[in-house]
Amino acid sequence: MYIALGIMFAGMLVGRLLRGHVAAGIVRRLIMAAILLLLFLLGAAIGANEDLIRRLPDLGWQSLALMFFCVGGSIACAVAIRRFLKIR
Amino acid sequence: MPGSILILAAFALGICLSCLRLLPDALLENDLSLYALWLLMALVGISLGADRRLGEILRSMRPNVLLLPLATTTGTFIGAAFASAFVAFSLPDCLAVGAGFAYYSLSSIFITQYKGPDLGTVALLCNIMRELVTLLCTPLLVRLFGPCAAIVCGGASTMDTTLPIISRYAGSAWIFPAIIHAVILDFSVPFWVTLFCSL
Repeated sequence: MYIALGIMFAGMLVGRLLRGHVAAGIVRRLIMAAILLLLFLLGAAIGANEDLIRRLPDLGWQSLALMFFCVGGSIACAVAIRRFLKIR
Repeated sequence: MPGSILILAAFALGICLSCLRLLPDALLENDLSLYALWLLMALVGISLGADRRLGEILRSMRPNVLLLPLATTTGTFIGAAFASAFVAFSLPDCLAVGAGFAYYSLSSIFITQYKGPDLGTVALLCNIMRELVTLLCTPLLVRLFGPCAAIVCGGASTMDTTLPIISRYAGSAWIFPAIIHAVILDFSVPFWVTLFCSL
């Protein structure tokens, strides 16, 4: 599991060393391609799982509930720190 | 927004082709997704390391701007902890999903790899909804709770997808804090998600 994080750190070092030589546009496009591939594979894994497909509506409601709680908590904290962030 | 549509289209295409049994079994059975994840992390790392702007942004920011990502992180985790009492997932699972901070692509990929497609799907849906709510409700959030509320709602999306609407309704003075906020959260997503997936 930490291999992925280690690879990211290694990538950061490589990126730092190659600063000025790395074509940012190419890296961004490759990142998008990797994301598209992985989301496609996630979709494929879900599609192959009939039980998961059947439970998608239920998972949807749980996702919605989780989102509201997370956003609500964040907004409550934002209101609490508001007076420390007077930005004009 | 076009990138988000493309990502959702890839996800939907995967579901459709798989449901129709048009994909080879080998695609689902081997470790292709793990190697693709490693490749993605390497590319994300290179992109972060090569970005000159990051150092400039970090050197020029004032300490109180760090309060925004702190509020987002703390509030999200508190909210996720409460949510775990109402949904069919454990506390660490809910925290892992919340730690996506609207960065739905990376967080769902990570969580699927380590926790399975159930939680990966929830992570994808939850974080997409977070971004959508920010896009739709920023005017209301700013009016009721102030500019900070819109920024913390947007999570890691406040440097791209939701930045225009935040800038429009909160004001241009909040552009820089919104970007810093998202950059810090972007960095933190892999760490928090990995931590909670290992609990």
